[in-house]
Order: sequence, then structure tokens, then C-alpha cells
Amino acid sequence: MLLIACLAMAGIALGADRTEAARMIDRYASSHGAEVTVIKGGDLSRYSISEYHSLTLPSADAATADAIAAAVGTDMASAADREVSYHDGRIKYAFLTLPPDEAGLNRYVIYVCNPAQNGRRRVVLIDIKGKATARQLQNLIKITSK
Amino acid sequence: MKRLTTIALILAAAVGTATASTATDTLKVVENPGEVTIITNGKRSLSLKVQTENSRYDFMAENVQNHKEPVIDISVPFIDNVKKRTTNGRRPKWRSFAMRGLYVGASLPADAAPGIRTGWEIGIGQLSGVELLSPSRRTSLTAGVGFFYRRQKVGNGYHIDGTTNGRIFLAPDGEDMRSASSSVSSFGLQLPIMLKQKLIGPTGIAIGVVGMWNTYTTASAKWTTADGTTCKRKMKGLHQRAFTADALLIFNLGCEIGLYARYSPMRMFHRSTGPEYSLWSTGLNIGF
Repeated sequence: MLLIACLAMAGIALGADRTEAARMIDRYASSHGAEVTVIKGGDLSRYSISEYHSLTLPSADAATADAIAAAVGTDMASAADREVSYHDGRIKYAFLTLPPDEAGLNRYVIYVCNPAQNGRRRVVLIDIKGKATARQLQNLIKITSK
Repeated sequence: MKRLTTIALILAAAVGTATASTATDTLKVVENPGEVTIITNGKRSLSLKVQTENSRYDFMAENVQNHKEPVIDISVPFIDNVKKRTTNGRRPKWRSFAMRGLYVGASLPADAAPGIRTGWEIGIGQLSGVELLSPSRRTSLTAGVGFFYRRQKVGNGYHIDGTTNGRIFLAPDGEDMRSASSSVSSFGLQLPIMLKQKLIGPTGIAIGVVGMWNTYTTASAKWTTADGTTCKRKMKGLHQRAFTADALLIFNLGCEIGLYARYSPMRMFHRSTGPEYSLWSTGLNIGF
């Protein structure tokens, strides 16, 4: 029992730095049509980024889109800085700067939710960790509104 | 119908303080702002500018006519670049091909079988085949089917003799035999499975196993007797092993031209059906 409790605590401690967005990426990675990109180290260091996780759901149902939006909302609550756009009371776009992790790396969550066919949603969720500042990251990512 | 849509953007967020205790719909908390400017344009819009010592925050809310939800495009070009550098932006790929590995070379006995001399061989390693290319396109796995012809000479005081039931053996030349020459010829299909790796520039190396299906094997002997009579004997219906396997190494020098080395450790005949010998062969390979 003690071992299980220790393992559980270790698990909680290890997961404490994880964003809700990262959990959502893991949770929906195997969804139908999901496109997941995970890159760690390597050439990312050229951009002062250590980890890059992204999830694209081209045709998410309402429940999935709402669950991801709720997770982004949770991350938003703990964000040190936010750039958010709403549409009809729902988060449409979010660029969140979360407090640095224990290693001192900056953490960012980017979220975009667009309409798709048949009332479904196209959701893009990105979780980034690295030394890059928010301004550096914003210069690397292109966001346009139509 | 007009629907109220609020679009809020905060720019130039750098120094301001937003704590974890702020509500989720709080966009920014700025303590001790130096200057706050609020501009309204009737009911159409409201803009808010907050100036601190080091930063400025712009906020704008608009009433917009919105029949259709706007679409926000996001692209991450630097990640695409990272992916390209990692894999050249490619995935493993299957493709088919034809006519690869035309070769001709010499075959030498690998063991000390008496009478077995240097022979020659020719063939096409892969008349047609399929190839699985790695994302980098520098490594590939190929499988195909081709054919071969190999002729192994016999001499050095020995010739091939045989029985009527298709069994052959090496026999010492008789005293009345002059200019004796014999050979074992084999024709068949080959099924190479090769792992290829491109090296520097056009050079490359391939290593693999070749399954040999020895479909047709014959032996022949020719000699002249003391009285000048020329004798020829052709032996068919031999009991060769139907399947043997070779190890093959190809080094491509460039321009599809290279050298190959092949080791045939499996003897074509069992001791009871024919001469036992294994071979080394080497020669020119065209098509990589």
C-alpha cells in the first residue's frame, strides 16, 4: 500500500507540470482523423524550444470540442498572460503563457477552434515548452483571421 | 440580425502581472497603470489602452455584423522546417521497379574440391521487384525475382562422369583421354532480398540473401581419345538441390555500375548425387 501511495504521489508530482492541454492531446491523439505531432529536442533547439506537442482534430464533435475548450479554460485560469478571442461566448482562439515549470522552461498553450462541416469543429491545440519568450513564439507562428 | 460578438485582443503583453487567482474571463490585470485611455464609438466599439512604465496594452471590443463565424488560420512553419530536416518531409514509400542488377563475373571454388575450376556466371538479380524506401530515401529494402546462369568448369585431371539414373561424379581422366573438359551448368530463378544503403554521393552498398531456385542443371564432358576420336557426353535429369541460398554484397561505384561478391555456401549436389562444392563469385554489377 505504501509503495502504491508513493508511486501515486510520484505520478502526481511528475504530472504537476503538465498542462491540461497536454492531457487533452494525449487523450484525443487516437481519435478518428487526429493528427498529432510530437517533437522533442533536435532541431527545435534552434528556436529555443524543448518540446512541441500538437493535436489537430479536423472534424471534432461538439462534446470533444467542448471538453478541449474546457481544458483550455482551466489552463487559462493559471496563465500568467493570455491573448484570447471569443465568439458567441466560446473561446475561439487562445495564446496562453503559463508560469515556467520547475526547470525554468516557459510553457505555452495555443488553441484555435474553427467551424467545420455539419456543425462539427476543427480544433487545433498546441502545447509548447522551452526557453523562447512569448514574443519570440508569436513571431514564429502565423495566425490570420478571415 | 446583428449579434453581439466580442473580440478581445491583448497585445504587447510583457511585464504586467496576472496572478493565478484571476478569473478565466479576466484578460489582464495591470497594477498601477500610468495612463488609461478609453475611446468609444457609439455602440459600435470600445477601445481601451493601458500604458505602464514598460509596456502598453490595447483592448478592443466591437459590435460586428456577424452572419458567419470567422475562421482563424494557424500555421507553424518552423515546425514544418524541423520535420523536413528530420525526414525530408517524407514517409516510407513502396515502389516497384524493373531490370536491376545485371551481373557477370567469375566463380571460384570456395573449398578444395578436386577438379573444380574457375567458372563464370551471368544473370539479372532483379528482373522486377518492389522496394520499401525509408523517409530519407537513402535506405531501402528490396525484394525481387530474376534469373541466373552459372557454368562451373571441371579439369585438372578430372572429368565428369555419370550414371544412367542422373547421378554424376568426378572421375580421374583415363590414360587414353586427351584434352578432357567438363562443366556443370545451372539455370534458374533467383529471389534476392537486399538491404540497400546509399553512401557518399552516388556510391552505395547493398547486402542480402538470394534464394536460388535451381530449375535446370546439366553436366557435359568432352574429351579426345588417343586415336583422335572426339567424344561428347551430355547429362540431364540431374538430382541437384532445388533450393539453395547465396549471400550477396554489391558495392555501387556510381552511374549504376558497381562490383559484387557472392558466396554460395550451399552445395548444389548432395554427396550421393554429385560433386560437392561451394563457390565464391565476383564481377561487375550494372543497375543498383
